[in-house]
Amino acid sequence: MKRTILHSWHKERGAKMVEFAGWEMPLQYSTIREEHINVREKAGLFDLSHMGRIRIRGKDRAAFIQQVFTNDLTKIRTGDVQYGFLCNPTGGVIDDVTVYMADDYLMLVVNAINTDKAVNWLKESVGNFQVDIEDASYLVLMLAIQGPQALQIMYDMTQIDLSNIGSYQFRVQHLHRSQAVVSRTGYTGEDGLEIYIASVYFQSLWEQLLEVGSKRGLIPIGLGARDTLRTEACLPLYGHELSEEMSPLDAGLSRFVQFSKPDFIGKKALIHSTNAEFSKKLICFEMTDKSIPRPGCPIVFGDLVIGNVTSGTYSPTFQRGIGMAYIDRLRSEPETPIMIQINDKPHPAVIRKRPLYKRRKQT
Amino acid sequence: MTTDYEIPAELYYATSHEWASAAGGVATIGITSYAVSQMDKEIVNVDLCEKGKKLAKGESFGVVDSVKAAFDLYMPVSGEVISVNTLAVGSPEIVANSPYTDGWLIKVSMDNAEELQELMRAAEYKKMIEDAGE
Repeated sequence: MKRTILHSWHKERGAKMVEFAGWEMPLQYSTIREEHINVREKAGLFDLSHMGRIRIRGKDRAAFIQQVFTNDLTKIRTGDVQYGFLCNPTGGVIDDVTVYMADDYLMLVVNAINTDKAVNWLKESVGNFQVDIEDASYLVLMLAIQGPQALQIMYDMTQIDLSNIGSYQFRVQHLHRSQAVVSRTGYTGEDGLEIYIASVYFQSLWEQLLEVGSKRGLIPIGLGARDTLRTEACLPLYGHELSEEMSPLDAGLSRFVQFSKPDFIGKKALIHSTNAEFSKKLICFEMTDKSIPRPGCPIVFGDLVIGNVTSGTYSPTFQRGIGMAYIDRLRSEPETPIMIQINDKPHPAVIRKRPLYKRRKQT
Repeated sequence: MTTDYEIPAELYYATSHEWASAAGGVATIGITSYAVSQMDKEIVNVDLCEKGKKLAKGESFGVVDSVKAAFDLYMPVSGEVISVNTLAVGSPEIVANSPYTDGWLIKVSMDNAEELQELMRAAEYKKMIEDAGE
């Protein structure tokens, strides 16, 4: 199993470690509920070294990524981050990625479970483009600081105001003895930053952030709370809401697919699928009894199975079961009551508008 | 680490981490403090079968949920469920806090009290969880 640089730090801190996508990662340091609420109310620090970071250099880099990416890079500039998909020719999702546009390279941040697959897919698709594809995951490590106090903690540490980095923008910033990429992105539904820094500086940055941030309540957060946070924010997770069998359109993420650009792998298949009525739609729901839905639970209508839960958990914010599911398009409207089969019994739930959790804007 | 778990000497234990105590022909059944710790000490839901249900040893009598996962509950003995702990259903944290006392789950009128002898005693159960390691 692969380990991040912080592996022994996590263990010394008493983390319960689990296997995730071939990595030994912290599931939780205290309890999932405590960590979750801490991120919603104060701030949390996440070791995301397991995620893949792929650097694309060379004169054709933008044209190349345009060819394999569903979103449109001509709509962003240096300093912007764009979310989208690498699709296969049938429109299925190879991975969901964020693309960072720097002056002289592009960085793709990919899911841990898909890093090798994405690197191989890019290399196979390179054709005559003049590009250099490098898996930089071990050179540049990644952490996230998320929550209402996140930017203030960064200011306490650096005396630099990072609040003028817009949402889905980044800056190359001198930070902690090194240049770092700092982006206003995240996967929790909270405000915050993701920081990329050379591996030699990573652990000391991590430790300094916790030291400075502890007076504002900063604590390390494991993958358990990362999952409950993103589920409340209805952010898709590869392997749950996204797969090679599902298209981004099935997942309701058509705003990240730009049909107006000339061509990209999967475009033809996706255009055809927009003409058809999709049978299933991704929704989020809330249980109306005390039961907790889990991935794979069927959604039933009488004797019929009309959908399946893709993510399901206890929500520390709402203090009940919540989740996401693919469901028959005809029964997918918000506020529709549904029944979910849990432990062999149907339990009542209601479809809600996405997202379930939306943070209050800072005043 | 295993020394942290409370394993009362007078109880009977199943490999699936339920405990049973017997008085007359009635067994009280719950889950062990080791099971609670495996659920990260956060029990957020207790879902039990209905009173009157007749179940064989090894059949499921309900589910407890942590934030992250569901854990099936299995009958350590066969019998009829004559009582369900509604306090635990209403306040699942009681099971995490007091798994051997207020956090009991069901009471069963046993078909055959001899089945208790097939369960583990405290020393054997302690050895099993020690062997499972941390």
